[in-house]
Amino acid sequence: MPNMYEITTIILIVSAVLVLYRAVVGPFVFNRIMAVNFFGTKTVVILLLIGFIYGRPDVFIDIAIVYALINFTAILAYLKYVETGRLDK
Amino acid sequence: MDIDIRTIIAGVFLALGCFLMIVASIGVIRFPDFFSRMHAAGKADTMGQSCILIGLIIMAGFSLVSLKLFIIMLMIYIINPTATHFLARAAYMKGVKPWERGGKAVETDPFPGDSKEPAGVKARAKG
Amino acid sequence: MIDIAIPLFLVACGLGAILVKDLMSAIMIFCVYSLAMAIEWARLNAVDVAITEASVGAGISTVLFIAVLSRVRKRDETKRKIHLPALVVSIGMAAILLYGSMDLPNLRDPNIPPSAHVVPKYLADSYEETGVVNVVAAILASYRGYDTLGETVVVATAGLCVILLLRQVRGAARKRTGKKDGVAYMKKPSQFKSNQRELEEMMHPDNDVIRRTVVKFLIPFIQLFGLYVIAHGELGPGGGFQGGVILGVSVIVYSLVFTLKEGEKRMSVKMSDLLVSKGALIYGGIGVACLFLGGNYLQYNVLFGDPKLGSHLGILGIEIGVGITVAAVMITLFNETIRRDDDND
Repeated sequence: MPNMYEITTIILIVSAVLVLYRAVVGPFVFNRIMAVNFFGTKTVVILLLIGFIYGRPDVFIDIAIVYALINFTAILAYLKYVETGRLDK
Repeated sequence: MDIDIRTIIAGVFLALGCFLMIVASIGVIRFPDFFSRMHAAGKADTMGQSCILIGLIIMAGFSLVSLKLFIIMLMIYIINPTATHFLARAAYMKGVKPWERGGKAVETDPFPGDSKEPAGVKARAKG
Repeated sequence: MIDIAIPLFLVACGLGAILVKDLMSAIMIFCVYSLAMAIEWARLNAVDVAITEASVGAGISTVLFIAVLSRVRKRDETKRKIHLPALVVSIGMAAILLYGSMDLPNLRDPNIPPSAHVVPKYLADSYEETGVVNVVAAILASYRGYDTLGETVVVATAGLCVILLLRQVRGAARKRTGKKDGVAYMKKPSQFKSNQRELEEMMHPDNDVIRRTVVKFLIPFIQLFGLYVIAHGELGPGGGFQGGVILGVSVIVYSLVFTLKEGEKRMSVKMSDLLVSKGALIYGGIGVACLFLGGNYLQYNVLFGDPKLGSHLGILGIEIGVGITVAAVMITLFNETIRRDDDND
């Protein structure tokens, strides 16, 4: 019988894949950025849940923190590029 | 079955989180325009994540793990709304039109070069 | 089922990134690819690789791709024709490689040489010999210390090449054409020519207060976490490379939100140029120190009275060296790519 972490992980993966529809269909760049951001925040939680499934959450938490911080940076860079077309100003 | 009260409370939180996540992704797919989709992706997602994290904190007990989970939760509370804010602001500045009641779900492309969709961009941005 | 689903998804992402015409979408697909890849690594319980994928694959390479994209045309406009000789050569090469890989031993077989000799030795003796809990860190920093030194020097060399190339080209072209910005970048895409007043209003500090405040608040956490990953590499996942990337990201995000000019006030060009080589110097210097103290090159346990403490300190030292080099190279790559001299001053 799957435990509750596994069920939660599967539901999260399904919801993340559903949102990829938005990333594929668009219809324009902001929807795609939103979908990627959504997928990234899901990944943080999925990593944590995998850590709990394997019984070593202390290791996986570090990866999740890296993701949370770095995904934010990537979104900032996307938006800066879309807003101004350049990154240095 | 040796299910104690802690597992039950954590399970309730996890289930709530799952529900909110599914609701968020259905909202992202089904809502008619960009800004209402942001509404789903921003709020329901943040709440769902924090519910799942609360469930995990309850399961982890009082330890370094739960402290770090709490830090992740704080970061999500800061990062997610900020990212949503930037995204909505950038879209508005670039002239993405909000959907109005009774209107057709027409989405204007802020960069007409990207696709063949009609471009009604600059007018909105100036006004 | 999930073991089949994730690789299929990865293949789909790879094909999508090649086939899509809009380069921005290609970068996003690549970002999603990295995220799925990290989930797969985590599922395989390979935490060190997962954290590398997180910091390098999803983070810094996305930011660097966007930096490059801001200097080139926005869409891939090359005509897709099949180049027959190239196709034949690549299919032949793939066939040869596949044929060669047939002779590789079955990785699941417990009797193949790596599983029979090297792995049990590392798993059993690495803590006794190096004093490091994380076996991956022990292998990278101690058993394979020369390889890691080589990697660090390669990273530093790449950074120096970027400095030489981009600055050289910029300076030479400026002299030749009399223009301020000489780098051969494509024309700004027309859709980005938003009018100047709107742009200024958008970038005005009053309108930007949330972004600035949040980033100011987050940067100390990012840096602290980067230092934690570098120092904690002996116990948990991470190490010099990953921590260095995170430290680099903290400076990059500052230059992203406050302009590049402001960012260079905090981390000057001279400073990052120096740090590129200093990190590799620290690594090599620890090796030389080991020689002076009567051991072999990079034999850490002579560094201190207690062999275990010595090797502990030596490994921490080289992680710090690697981290400094990687952080400085990332900052340099980003700054040199996005810098335009046209109306900067």
